[in-house]
Amino acid sequence: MKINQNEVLGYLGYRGLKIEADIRNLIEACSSEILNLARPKNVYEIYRLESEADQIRLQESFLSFKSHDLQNHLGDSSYCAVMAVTLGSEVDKKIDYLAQSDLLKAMVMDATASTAIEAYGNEVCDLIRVLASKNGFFLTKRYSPGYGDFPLESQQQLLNLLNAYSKIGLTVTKSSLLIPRKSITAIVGLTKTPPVNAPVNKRCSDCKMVNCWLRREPKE
Amino acid sequence: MKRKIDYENILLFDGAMGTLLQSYGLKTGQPPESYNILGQELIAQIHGEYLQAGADIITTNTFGANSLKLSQYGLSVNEIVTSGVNIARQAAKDKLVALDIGPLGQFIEPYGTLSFDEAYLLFKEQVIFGAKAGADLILIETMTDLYELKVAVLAATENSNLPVFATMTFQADGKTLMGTEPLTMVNTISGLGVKALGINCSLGPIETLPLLEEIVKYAKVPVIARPNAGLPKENQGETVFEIGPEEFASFAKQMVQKGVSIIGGCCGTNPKYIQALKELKTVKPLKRQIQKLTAVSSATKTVIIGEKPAVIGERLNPTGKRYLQEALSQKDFSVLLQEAIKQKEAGADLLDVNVGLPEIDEAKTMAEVIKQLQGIIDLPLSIDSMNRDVLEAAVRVYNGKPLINSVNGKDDVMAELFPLVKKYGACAVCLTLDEKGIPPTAEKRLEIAKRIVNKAAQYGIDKEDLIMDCLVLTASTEQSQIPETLRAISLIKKELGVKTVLGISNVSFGLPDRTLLNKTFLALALGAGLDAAIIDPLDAEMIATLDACNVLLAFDINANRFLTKYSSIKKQDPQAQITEEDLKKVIGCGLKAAASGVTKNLLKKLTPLQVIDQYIIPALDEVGLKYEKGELYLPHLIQAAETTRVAFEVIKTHNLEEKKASLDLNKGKIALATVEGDIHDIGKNMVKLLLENYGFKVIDLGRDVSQQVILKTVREEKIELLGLSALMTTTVKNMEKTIAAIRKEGLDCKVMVGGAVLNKEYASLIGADYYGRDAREAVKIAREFFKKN
Repeated sequence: MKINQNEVLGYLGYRGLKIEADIRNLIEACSSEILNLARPKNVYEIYRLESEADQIRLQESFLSFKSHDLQNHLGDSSYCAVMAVTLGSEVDKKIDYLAQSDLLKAMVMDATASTAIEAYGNEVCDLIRVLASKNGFFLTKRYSPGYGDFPLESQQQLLNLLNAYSKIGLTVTKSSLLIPRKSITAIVGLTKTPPVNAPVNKRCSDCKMVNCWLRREPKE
Repeated sequence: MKRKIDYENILLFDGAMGTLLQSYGLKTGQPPESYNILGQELIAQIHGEYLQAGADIITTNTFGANSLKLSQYGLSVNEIVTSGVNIARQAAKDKLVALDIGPLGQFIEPYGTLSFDEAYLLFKEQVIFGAKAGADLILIETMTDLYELKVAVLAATENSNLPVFATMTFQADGKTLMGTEPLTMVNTISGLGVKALGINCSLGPIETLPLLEEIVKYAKVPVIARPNAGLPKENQGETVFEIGPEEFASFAKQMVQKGVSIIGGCCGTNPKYIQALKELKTVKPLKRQIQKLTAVSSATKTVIIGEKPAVIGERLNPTGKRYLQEALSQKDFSVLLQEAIKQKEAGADLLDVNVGLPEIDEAKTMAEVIKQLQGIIDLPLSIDSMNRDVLEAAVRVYNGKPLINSVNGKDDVMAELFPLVKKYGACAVCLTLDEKGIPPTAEKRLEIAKRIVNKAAQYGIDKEDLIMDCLVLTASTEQSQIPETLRAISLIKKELGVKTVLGISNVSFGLPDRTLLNKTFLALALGAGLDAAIIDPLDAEMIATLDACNVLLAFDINANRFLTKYSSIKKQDPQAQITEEDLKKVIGCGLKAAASGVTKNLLKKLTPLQVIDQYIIPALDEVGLKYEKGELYLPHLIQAAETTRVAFEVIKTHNLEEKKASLDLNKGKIALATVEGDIHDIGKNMVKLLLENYGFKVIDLGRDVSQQVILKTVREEKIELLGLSALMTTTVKNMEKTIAAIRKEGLDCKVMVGGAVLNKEYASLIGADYYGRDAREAVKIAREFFKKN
């Protein structure tokens, strides 16, 4: 897992201005601490897709989703991979600890951990991509509950499907928050035609958190 | 009919249920437990195959049969569990039926949002239906969270008379997913009255073996192993497991030779694997040599008392500390968390926790404080109270093996507290005093210690779980008693083979230069063999003395720790040298290390209020303004705020030293909370820090805070401005409800809100009075608000 310093800076809201050496050193220190603390785990499964009028069904499972945006995103994908990744609980606990004793470091750790889980999610996508390309498929971007009209409440169904608690220790609360916090669930499409916007990372503009302190585009 | 479990022989469990159901066509995402209704014949058939293969115990198909999971599929716990036990019962005939209980799939607070009581009730329900339907024992398995396992064991032992077995699942790095190691698991769980414990699932037999070796060293009850058939592999589109029945059996044999006596399989195993284990039944379980330790544990750390002198930090005690008294009565636990962190970083091995204040509900507060502390601190805790109910409330929610502080030689105290020590598998500090008070000689204290050990044994408590406090009197009034205390340490250790503890600082009461007396007494006591000292770890001289003693008493092997800590001449941080420069610049540049020196200097010529008004506030305003204009970034703002916090700490200490009344800037009181269901609180913490910088009094209620607690605080503390934060759309709903409840109660309190998904319109839609985009804006709102009022 490689943590890109510039992405961490992005999360911390840096754009344009000169960046102090202090903050670079702190990110460096946090990165190696995260790599030490994290126990990254992943689980994914491939399903054949069946698109009905207003919903998508995952064959061989009991799952279907009513989400126009997800349907759009998957386009003509004939399969999808359902994935879940996590950094584990130690990272969260360290951030909580720092939040009581050194808030600056807590904040940088938090941004570093967010970068790390995205990087790890991409790594797992790369694994899936290798598998897919052997069979002549391309991968769409990751699409997660909470994007567009894909309801956050779908977290529970995705985790059940993957048996994610047993496999990687990932849970979801009544309010649909993932715990451990530095975790991602997502669906990626497997399609025969190269996707128009080739796989790039998810953008802040896709996200409903219009005023997230980590948001890279201008806030509302 | 009660069937006996034959611990004298090797017992065979069955193997996987889920793996077989999948091979019979169970779809992913479909709960296997539904087959207890829809596929009863199939379940009966699988049980039959395992019995045929030689299983002595079969497990019911109820692994996930808790209402948290089943309700998602519209299934009832009563039906699924009752039917599951009935099917197994009929198949088992004279063999044993284990009611299978797996994890709930959610974390317990404060890490998760499921409450201790909710989790307890979920398990209780399964236990009651399972016991009623005729299970012979309860198997709690595949646990990764020690806390959840403890709750499940309590629910099982308190709601049935059935024997309870408990197994956890470990990762390749030798820890559970939540970071618990085998020693900590054994130390915590074996005291809770389980009849057998061990490992299942997760790993194959190869990886499980070294972990089992660790468990058999310490476990006082029979040890269980139910590994997977190795790791799953993809073979021509089919999932197969890498280890076959014969190989599995050869590993099982090694496990039995190490001391495992209850054995079976988990994922990937089938009746053939159990059949292959059959020959193990011809051998007798190994008579193990068990290492008995005096050890206390948090969820992820075990401290062995006697391995080297342990430091028990004494600062979490409101006696004489106004800031702790205030924090406790306002439920602002962050103050306690910070006190705990400071002690840990100064070198404490355990933390003593005392919340005794006349005006608060001590039991409730203690339980809450314990939960909060164990959420972030990995040190074991010593629970300090005179009151049985307080102790029970605390040890019940404690995650690990706690230390109870304290029991003594009085008959009624022992009769009251030993059942508690036994039930919750705690260690106990035992004061060597009785109805007649503190005896004057070492010999008399030994006598009391003997009586305590004997009495404990009657309750089934091992002497290893007792730590004798030989009692420190003050040198100013009872000088002749000090040598007696030192003598008592060696005497009691030699005669009884128990560990010892002392509260050091009492010795110097009423004398000048207390630290000198304290540290010298500490050295003498350690020399006499003291195993644990209750001290203030923030007193650097005490820790230095301990470090030196660790070298001189050969605990610090080759003086390794001492060399690392003391040999390098301390490199002075260049920033720490700046003392003449302007505090404004120090804050503006975020020179945290310089803040203390500069502030001290300023306080020589200015009053605290002058420092705040002429330096701190203007500096913060300048940084804040630059941040607003986009000339600097959030980390810079927070660094300036952290620097200010250091300056404030200096000012507070200065005030205390000058014996002035506590610094009341009277800028206004604000309560902050992250709403119920939400556990993301970094944004709220930033708001808090900045508000405090500006001299506002902040009551931090923490995260996942219920509406009731918020309302109560607003009412009782007469809060006029409340800050609420929520990260997700799902939790903004709870924010809305909280605001509505405040309005309904007619409380005169304005609400400001913030959070990632909020904006101005959304905020007013949910009824908030103010919307703060970031921490800086929250400060502006607060300043404006309190100016007007």
